[in-house]
Amino acid sequence: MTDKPTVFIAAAVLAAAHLLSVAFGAAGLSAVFRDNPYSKFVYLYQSLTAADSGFGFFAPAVSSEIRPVLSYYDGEKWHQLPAFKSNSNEVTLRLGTFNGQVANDKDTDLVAASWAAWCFESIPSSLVVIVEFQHFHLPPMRKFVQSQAFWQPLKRFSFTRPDRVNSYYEHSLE
Amino acid sequence: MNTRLNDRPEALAIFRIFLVLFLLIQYVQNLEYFDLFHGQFSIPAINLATAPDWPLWFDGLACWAGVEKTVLMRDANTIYGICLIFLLLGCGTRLAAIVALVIQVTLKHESYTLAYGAYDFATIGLFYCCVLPVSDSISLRALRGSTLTPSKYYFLSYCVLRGHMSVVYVSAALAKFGGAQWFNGEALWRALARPSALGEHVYWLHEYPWLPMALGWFVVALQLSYPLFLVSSTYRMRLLVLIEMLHLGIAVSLGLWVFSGLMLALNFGALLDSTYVRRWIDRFLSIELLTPRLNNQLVRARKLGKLAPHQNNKAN
Repeated sequence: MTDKPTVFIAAAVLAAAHLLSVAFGAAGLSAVFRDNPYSKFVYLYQSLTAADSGFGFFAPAVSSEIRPVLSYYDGEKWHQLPAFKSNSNEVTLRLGTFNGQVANDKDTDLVAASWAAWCFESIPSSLVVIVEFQHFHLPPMRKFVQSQAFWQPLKRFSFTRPDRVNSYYEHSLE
Repeated sequence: MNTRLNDRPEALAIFRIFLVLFLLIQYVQNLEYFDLFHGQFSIPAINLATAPDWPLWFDGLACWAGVEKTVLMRDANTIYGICLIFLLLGCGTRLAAIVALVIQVTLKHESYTLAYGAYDFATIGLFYCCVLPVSDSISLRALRGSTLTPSKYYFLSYCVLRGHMSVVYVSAALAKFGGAQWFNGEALWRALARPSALGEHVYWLHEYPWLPMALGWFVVALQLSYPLFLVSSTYRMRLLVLIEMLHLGIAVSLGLWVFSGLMLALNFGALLDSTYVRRWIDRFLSIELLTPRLNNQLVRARKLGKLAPHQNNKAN
């Protein structure tokens, strides 16, 4: 790397601009840089540097934990799927992040549909799948009673595969 | 600010090594479940839709190559792992970092509903591996004796890392002021007592509400005062110990091991004093060859009488 002062000054100016962009991103103002003809490049830069990231983890409040409970009907009876288990902590965290999106109303249907699609794929005999999201109700610390900490139903969605239902009943009529 | 002590590359090398080690742990943990997240029948079916605004170059490339997108993503993931190993060894560092960064960001955007905070810090770390001189020490490049960067660029690198981490911690603290939970202990209670964290093992905390309350205040105060600790090397080392205690607590209680590890790496880069690292290497490993060119430069400069007294000591 060259030792020229001009190059060093240019590097320092770029570094300062980058930090400014990071500060704007942390403040949730990264979009102000995108309102220009070069918005695509700005978006690419922000994505490659994570300069558009916010850092308010668990802030200002800590939300409840959410889990999906899946049950399916195979034409004879209902079965409940055991909770998805993984021996990888990273996988558990990623799925926890995914389930947490149920709190965003616009994503709830899609998260439910994703779990249902996974269930249909994993269990070929499933005709109807019900996805119930539950949230962990934890009483406030100062009013805590252990019996009041439990999983509570939040939202419920049902899905079916008409092709499988038709095929099932055609076979059963034969 | 004490600038003399940090004009060496060792802390940047420690940052690189720890960052890559934790990225490799993340990589291995994800490897077995790659299809679950990126395959044709992944759990999050909506992930097959890319993050809004992200260029669909993976789709275009898959189309052009005539292969399925999921196959291409698996291949890209393999290349990502290889790049991490090159980065760890400090061989072809910049190229490896650029390729790893592009693949990491693409995979993150392709499954954006699954990406939690650790993925953003992985992007930040890899970006700094692309632009900062992170392989000038404890690397194959240094062993080969490749040209070293002028020391003022090390100082600039440390300034950038410190600035970035200051923004991270101060903004995290300010976000906590938006509610009362961090100041009445409720936030830590809710975070620790959730079933995926420590659950019922910490229900006893409700009998001592002052404890989570004090810890909440401590966390906010520590994050808010991060930039104030940067004034001297001694304070930076104290801050490093406090911050690492905080992240160790997060790792143990919430299971966020990779996230905490990446924060550890970034804080090593920002706060660690290279002189301590150098001394530690000299004392315990006796590997003088790790930064040979720098030593040669110092010896040559001493002979020419161009060094200040404190640099003479280093050269000796």
